[in-house]
Amino acid sequence: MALHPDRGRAGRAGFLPARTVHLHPLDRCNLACSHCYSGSSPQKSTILPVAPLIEALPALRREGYEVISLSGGEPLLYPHLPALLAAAAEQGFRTAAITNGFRVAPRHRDLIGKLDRIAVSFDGLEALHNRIRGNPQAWDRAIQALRYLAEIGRPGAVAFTVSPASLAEVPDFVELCAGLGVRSVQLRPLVMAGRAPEAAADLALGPADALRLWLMARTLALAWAGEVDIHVDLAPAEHLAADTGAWDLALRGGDEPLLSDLANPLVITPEGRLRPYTYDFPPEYDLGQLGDLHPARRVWIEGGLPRLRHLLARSLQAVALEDGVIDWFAYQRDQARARHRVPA
Amino acid sequence: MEPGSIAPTSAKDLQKALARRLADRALKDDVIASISRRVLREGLKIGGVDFCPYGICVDYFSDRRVLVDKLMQGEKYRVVRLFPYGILDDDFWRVQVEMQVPELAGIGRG
Repeated sequence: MALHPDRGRAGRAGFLPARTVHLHPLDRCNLACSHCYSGSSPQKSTILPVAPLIEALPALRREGYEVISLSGGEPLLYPHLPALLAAAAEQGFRTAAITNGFRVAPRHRDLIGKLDRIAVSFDGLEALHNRIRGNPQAWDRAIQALRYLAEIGRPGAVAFTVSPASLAEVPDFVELCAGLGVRSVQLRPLVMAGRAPEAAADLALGPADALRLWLMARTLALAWAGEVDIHVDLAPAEHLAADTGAWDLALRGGDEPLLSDLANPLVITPEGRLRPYTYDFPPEYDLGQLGDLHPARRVWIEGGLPRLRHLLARSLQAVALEDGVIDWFAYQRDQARARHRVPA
Repeated sequence: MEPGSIAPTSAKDLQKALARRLADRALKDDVIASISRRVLREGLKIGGVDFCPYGICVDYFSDRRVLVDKLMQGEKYRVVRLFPYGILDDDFWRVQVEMQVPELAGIGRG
């Protein structure tokens, strides 16, 4: 059993292990998954210009961020990725990308080598994965990506979206990953955002299935300990409420709070919006644009922090009354939507 | 069958089998909810959970504000072990409990 209590870590901000920027530099994707939370597809064409992005990196470091996690759209389609990764490395960021695997191939080896971590996304075993991805090659290409990463000595990670349909496939999928040399599997309950509410409303996990998934993840973590790390984006509500140390910095405020004390993760959209916690968080809580990270314009960000702090405090009070296990960031989003009466 | 021809079952096999039962929804919703309620006690931090076909071992972490008596209310544990952290942190305790959960083996409901 893991016996190290997670107490007293300096610089902790929220429930993530590191202060993280979720960067969505484009909404273009070579697939159009039925549940995509960002509504990405080959028809989308919003691309974040690289110059203001690179210009903002030192400010993001000053705000305490340590990791840039790239998503999209398909992040390996971002035409300025080499320049962005070089600039991020120069600023001391660790970088990660979550990809559908189509471009994880020998011809992109240099680019892949510049990322500290690559995760390939899955939605189920072959039939279900291909159906949700709308592409009969999606499974084969994702598996090839994992094989390739193992071959070049860069064992990949996997992000597996769990729906009622894919729940039963989790144990077999983890076993398959162990055989492919995958080092970690992150189990992510399907997020009801983007295309999902209309195209895949039946794919939301109910409370009982969320509990099943949480128990299953604990069981699989034991079974595969030392081979594959298993994580699940769910936590008991009581534990979240009791873990007061997680948000001490954020709630205390202070004279000069860092953006990362409160907004961890910070989402950057393809339009350059700074958004707390989730891609689909209500825009009323947006913290400005990339350019507002400049010290001369930071007043715009500071203006949004008290509202976010108030929401956080209210959410922590509310979660103490909840039962079962929850996805904290989706919970925060729902709390924000309820306050602004935003339809799901 | 030859004596000794049955391979011993490993902890990993048991854990994978339980994961399979959970995945296949072999345990009904109310059983799942009941097991979760029994494991998630009073907001205590869980250091580890271990499963076997007949029960669950849970390692909780606690400080003196949470009395062991409270933990024992409404639950009959097979075993309770208390480990003070002592030198590391004298206000911090590890409380290991073993509870019987026959539903995990398909005995009774579920």
